[in-house]
Amino acid sequence: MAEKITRRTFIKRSAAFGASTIVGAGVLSNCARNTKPPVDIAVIQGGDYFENTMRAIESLGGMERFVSKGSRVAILANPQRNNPGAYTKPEIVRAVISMCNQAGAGAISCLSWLPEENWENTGIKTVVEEEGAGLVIVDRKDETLFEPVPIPEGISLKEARIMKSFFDYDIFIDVPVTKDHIGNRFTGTMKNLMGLNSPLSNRSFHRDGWETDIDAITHLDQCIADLNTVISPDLCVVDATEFITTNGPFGPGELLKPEKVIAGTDRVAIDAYCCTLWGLRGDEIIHINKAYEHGIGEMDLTKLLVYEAEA
Amino acid sequence: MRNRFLSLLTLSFTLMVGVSGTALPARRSPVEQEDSRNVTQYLPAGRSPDGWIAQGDGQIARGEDLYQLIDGGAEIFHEYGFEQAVFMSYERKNGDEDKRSINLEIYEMESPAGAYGMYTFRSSERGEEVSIGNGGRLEDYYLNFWKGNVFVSVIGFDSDQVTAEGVKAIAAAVETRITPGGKEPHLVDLLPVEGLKPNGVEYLRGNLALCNNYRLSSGNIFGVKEGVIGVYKDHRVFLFSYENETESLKWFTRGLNHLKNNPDLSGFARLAEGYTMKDSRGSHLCLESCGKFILMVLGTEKNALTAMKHLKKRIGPLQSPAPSR
Repeated sequence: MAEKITRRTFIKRSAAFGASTIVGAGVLSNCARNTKPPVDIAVIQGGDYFENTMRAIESLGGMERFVSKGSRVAILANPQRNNPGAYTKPEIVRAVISMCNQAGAGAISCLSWLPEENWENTGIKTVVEEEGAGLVIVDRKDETLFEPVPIPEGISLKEARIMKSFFDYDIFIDVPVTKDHIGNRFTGTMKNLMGLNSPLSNRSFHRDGWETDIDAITHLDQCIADLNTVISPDLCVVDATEFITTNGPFGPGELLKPEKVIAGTDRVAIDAYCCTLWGLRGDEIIHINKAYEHGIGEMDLTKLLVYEAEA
Repeated sequence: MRNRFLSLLTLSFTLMVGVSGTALPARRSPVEQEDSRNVTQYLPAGRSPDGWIAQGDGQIARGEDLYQLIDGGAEIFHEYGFEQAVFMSYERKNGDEDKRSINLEIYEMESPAGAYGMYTFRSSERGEEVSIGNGGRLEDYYLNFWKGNVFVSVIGFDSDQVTAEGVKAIAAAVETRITPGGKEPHLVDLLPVEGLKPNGVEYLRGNLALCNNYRLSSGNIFGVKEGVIGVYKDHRVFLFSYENETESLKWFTRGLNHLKNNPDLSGFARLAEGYTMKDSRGSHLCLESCGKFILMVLGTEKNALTAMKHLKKRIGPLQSPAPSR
């Protein structure tokens, strides 16, 4: 097994986080959150995506750091479309669920407002069922199923509308696929959180109001960063095994196959790292900059401890 | 977690008083889906083209409903003038172990220029040409073409020969269902031909496509409503078209002012007939106003200037192309 640890300086943990306004900091606040993971970002490469995922999370100290016995775990994967490189690989979701089970989670569910058909077509539904987890599909057209959440630090987005089911869980694990996205060029851990927000609200990200077209992509990116000030995953596990680098988020597009799974807790850092996988820089992506300005995380990779290994 | 946010949620409910949610457009019933021009007319005849079996009835989206189908991916289709779409999946089994799938996506646009634009946006120089529709091209695992005002994408889940043949067969079956027609917009003819990469043209109908190719700014600083990008070996040519010279000059001045204040650009200098600057990746940008067009070239310092000269030489006598909308 080849290993590489890039040690520069550790991230300064942001004391600017308004913990009381962050959704997702559940039981972890009382245990693992207060202790620093051994590395900031764990990157495991190999053809066995289940193994990569297990190894990446173990490199952070194991799932027990994030999931305590009896806790209820919400997982947000991305089953947007079964075109190659446009969705989270089922084996990565399987590994996350399996490790949560081993850690003694009381309940594990994948949450989504995308139709069940998407979960079937991408193969994730089968994995969820086989691992004994739940699949909670929220009717995207029923706005009563989404909870208004004010965003005190929001610049463009003043209120999110988070699916109510989300609040039934203690721990939140963000499991996106990183890939290209039209306009803002990149999607990863932070943009994936739009999957918890109501589609109606998300539409205002893409358009500044319903009536007028927006020219500024900055608006979308600012909204993504704003949303991330009130939702904070306890753990992020990113699928960078195979993804589209053009024609995102839906594809079909040019496929890149780094065969990597990336895990960590700093969304800004992880997204900045993922950018480099296809020649982008974190500072070129507006929402990464905006999230950094919000104090959500560190975008300078030289300040991070990145552990890279082959499975 | 719920208790922790109870107070915040209470506050947010208070803030929500008087704010009424706008419901997403209701999904049409199958009967409603049959009205007017039915996009399913483009689906292959029968349910098993070349032995690939259609799965279900397919998904249809019209106008704004496209957001329900592809979320953020819908923006670019609307920029090019989206009308309606149908998605269908196909499967082919050879025993229990060998199951293959293909996705078919058919988009009807407002005009042939819109279909061509989406095709150029979605396609690249990779892959091989195939004789299906206009611009038929098999790239790795998917095939794109356009015909009339329809843009078609057929996606295999792998790139092996059996799936590739299925992709081509389904594409060909769709192509026969589309009424012939549609020409490339005249603006495309203004690009210098020499050195233009195969499939190196991207036709623009707005800022989103432009930003996806090269981001001058997140805003539409040049007010681009129609344009074309040509990709050459060592540079890119951008040509934005306006109603008249007055409009072009207005946007040129506005855009230039934005660029002057863009911290990502440096080395801003005035040339005899335009401006030059350097972006954060070290590429040189040449910019000029030329009649009803704004011309821009991105490349090394030397070839950007040379390419601009060639472009102006070609644009000069051809400044009044027939309208392509």
